Amino acid sequence: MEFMNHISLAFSIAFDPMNLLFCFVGVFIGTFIGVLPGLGPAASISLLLPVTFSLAPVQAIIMLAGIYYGAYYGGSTTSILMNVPGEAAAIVTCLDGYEMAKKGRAGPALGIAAMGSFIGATISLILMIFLAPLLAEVALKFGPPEYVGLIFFGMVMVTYLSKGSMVKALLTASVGILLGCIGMDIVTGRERFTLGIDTIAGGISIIPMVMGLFGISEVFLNLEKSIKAAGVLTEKVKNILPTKQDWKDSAGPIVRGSFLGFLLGLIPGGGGFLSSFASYAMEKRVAKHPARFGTGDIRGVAGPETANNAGAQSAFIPLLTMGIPCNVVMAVFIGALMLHGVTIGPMLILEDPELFWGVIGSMYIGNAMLLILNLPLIGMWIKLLKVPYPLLFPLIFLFCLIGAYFVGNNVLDIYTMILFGVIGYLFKKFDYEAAPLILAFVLAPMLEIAFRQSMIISRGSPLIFLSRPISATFVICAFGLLVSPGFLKLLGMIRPGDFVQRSED
Amino acid sequence: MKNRDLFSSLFWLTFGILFASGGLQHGLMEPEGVPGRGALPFIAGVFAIILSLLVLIPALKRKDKGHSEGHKVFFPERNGLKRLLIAIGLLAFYGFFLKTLGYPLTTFLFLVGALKLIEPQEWKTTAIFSLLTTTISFAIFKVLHVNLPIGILGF
Repeated sequence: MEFMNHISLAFSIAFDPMNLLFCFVGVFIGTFIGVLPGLGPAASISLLLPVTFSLAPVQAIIMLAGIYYGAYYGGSTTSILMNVPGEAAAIVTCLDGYEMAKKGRAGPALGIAAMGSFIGATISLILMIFLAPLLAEVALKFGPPEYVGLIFFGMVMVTYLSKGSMVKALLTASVGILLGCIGMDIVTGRERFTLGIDTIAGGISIIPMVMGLFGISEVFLNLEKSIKAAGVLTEKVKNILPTKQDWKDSAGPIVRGSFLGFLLGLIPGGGGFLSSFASYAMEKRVAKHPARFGTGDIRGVAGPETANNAGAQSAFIPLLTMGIPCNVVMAVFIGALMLHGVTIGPMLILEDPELFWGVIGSMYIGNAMLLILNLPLIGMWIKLLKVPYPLLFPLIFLFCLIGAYFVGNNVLDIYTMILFGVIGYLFKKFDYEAAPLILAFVLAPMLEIAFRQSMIISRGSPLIFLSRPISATFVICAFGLLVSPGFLKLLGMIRPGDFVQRSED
Repeated sequence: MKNRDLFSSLFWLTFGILFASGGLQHGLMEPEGVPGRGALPFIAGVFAIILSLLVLIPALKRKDKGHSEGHKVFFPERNGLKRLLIAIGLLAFYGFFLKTLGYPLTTFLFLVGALKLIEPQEWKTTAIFSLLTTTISFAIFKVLHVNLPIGILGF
């Protein structure tokens, strides 16, 4: 009965005409962003955030969420037609998707990618409706020490799953915490590390930071080489509906990808990116003829595309029920929710059920809209791929400049964005990852408050984190992850990040 | 990668030392025996110092293999740095002049600069594209009642 009540509330809010409109705007922009290489969902949500200031929180979050999962749909188009992933989670789709396109099967590849994404998102949303209230109930039992344990575990997990060196990932997470400490101390109200600059007394704004690290830095990287026109497979994309045999081949990968993606989306550091790689690896392992992967096998498109959308949806669960972001985009969502005056955490589902269930309901409708946008309207997106980059990059710069400025009508935010653009560029050159930095930056204030409250409860004894079962479990798991690369190396095994690295190579 | 790891780890080492010492100055403990406002910066600063040393020490021990193996060129093309500096300069120009010149003029000049200086386009393309983008975006902001910076032109 409760389940039906939740569904009814979700769809009654999602079907509100204004919410439908903003959902459509979100998924449309998301597909656009996904199709364009060089501007991922994190940077896009950041730069569009000021546009949502005048909207109600539900409408704003519905639109921003639409951009996020819409980008995953759009990302597969460039992977299949150009061999250029529109965003990170679509990297693996290039392997078989582009090969299918070269063999004249771009239509079925695009079709199965969109339909697999829809099925994955649907299964993920059904599981979400069951699991989210349960998780929120568990989270209500969490006290400050449990939150310290969870945040610590989350940060370690993100660094563990990062694609490069774990030491460098931990280093950037430490830097993220330090940057998160800049500004006013939440407990005493006194300033720290502000260098006397009044405008950063409230801390560094996450929006220009994300735009710099993920938007501007990507353009910088593209600009260091002469811009050549990318090869788009321009012949007319036909037979978008997969054949019976395609469905038969893809059914298993789609079902497995849905559940795998859902589970990996819940893990800190997970989400669409990890889900797509894990699904590809799993499909290759269970296949009778794994050698066919990489030569245009539809299973190599169906599994990862399903998994990345399932993971993209389930990543909302830890955010909305516990206030813990699992990936960079979720970290940006924390900033967005805070700007709209929404307090996230286990109480959200009770205090603001319209927002919670409305966003979940809109995701289902948004996914249905995406199916229409990505199948019958595929020709429109293909035309967009032909816009020359020399005309595109000034626009990306301009969007970022305007987005950074309008967050606080402050020119300093533009300089912050440029600074983090340069830092993001150097991160790419020096093999550092920006994701742990952003996640640690967002989690630092929560960690600090929970840490200080825990110490007040324990009267200064750090043993409180080991004396309570939930926090002790998180802390032990985190330490286990920290030391495991050494053990795995001894055993001759690898960690997931190494797999990702090799796949990209 | 040796030099890159050396430079980056030294930078983070300095960064960690600055924050750890700043944390000490702000106070690690409050009189009531609870962590002070310098506690977290100190702990994270110490972590950054240790981790940057874990990058620095292997980099010092590593022999540079030069161009023969594993060496990545910083800029793949000769004028890569020039393009990058122009882009940074143009972005800084936008921030510097936005309030003085106002939205339309700064945006127009920025677009002209980006189209002519980085990947040079024909003057006709540059002028039409810059003018159209500026006009359309200005009109959208006006419709949305967004407060744009008013510069010397008065709009």
